[in-house]
Amino acid sequence: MKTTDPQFDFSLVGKRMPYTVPEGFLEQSAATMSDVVSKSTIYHVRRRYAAAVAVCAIIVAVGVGSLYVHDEARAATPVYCQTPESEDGDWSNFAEADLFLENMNW
Amino acid sequence: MRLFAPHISPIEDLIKRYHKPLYWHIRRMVVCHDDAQDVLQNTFLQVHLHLSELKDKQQERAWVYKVATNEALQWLRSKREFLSLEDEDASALLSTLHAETYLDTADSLLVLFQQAILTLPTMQRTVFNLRYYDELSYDEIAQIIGSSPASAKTNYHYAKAKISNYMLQHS
Repeated sequence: MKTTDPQFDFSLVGKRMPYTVPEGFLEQSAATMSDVVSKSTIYHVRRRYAAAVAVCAIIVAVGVGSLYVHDEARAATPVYCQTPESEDGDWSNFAEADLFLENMNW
Repeated sequence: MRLFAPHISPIEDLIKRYHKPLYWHIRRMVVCHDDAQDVLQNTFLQVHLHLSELKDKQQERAWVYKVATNEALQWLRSKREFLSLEDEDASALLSTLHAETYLDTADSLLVLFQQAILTLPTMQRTVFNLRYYDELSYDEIAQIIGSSPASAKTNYHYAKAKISNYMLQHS
């Protein structure tokens, strides 16, 4: 004969729990939650906004920095501006060029 | 009658409909009322921040329960790390139960029943609470715990058998 193990009768407990809450907690919690969530959301939005502003500031700073470097680079004589050595001598020396022009009888 | 397809409820509507069931779900998991309140706030904050990720209205209940469950488990994990406990969820939760201010000890059977639930492994405890108290379907539970409905069903039956044994031994 097949026998089954004794089982606890769950209907003795049902869905009852020993947990309690402070008086009026559940009635007020919806309003409290809405308030907390909206305040936290504003905080999160402000944080995201602050982060976005910081990122923009960094991008602008990097942009300005790159322009500054570009100016320095521009200060150096570009290759295409350098006077090539001609058959008549080295024209990159402006002093010599000026002297040559002065000596020329126009 | 809605003229358009069902839309995602705004956060106030979700809070209104779910704050009580989620509070009790979280309370059963973290035991302490103050902790449950904090976890509930975090839950609704996460729900609000990620509301756009909920595409299917039909999965709304499973989704909010999933967020609540994850927040509660995260809370328990952080508490365990703070207390330097390892795999001692049950004893820590039982201590919390006995130290809890908002607990009615008049009916010892109810306290014993909660003790039995708290001795279960985390997964079985979560599945048992979701099925027994919240009456969620196995599909929804599977979605919440990230497993299959069959696995959820197995976990529930194991949990129920363990609780039954515990109650028979201790009552």
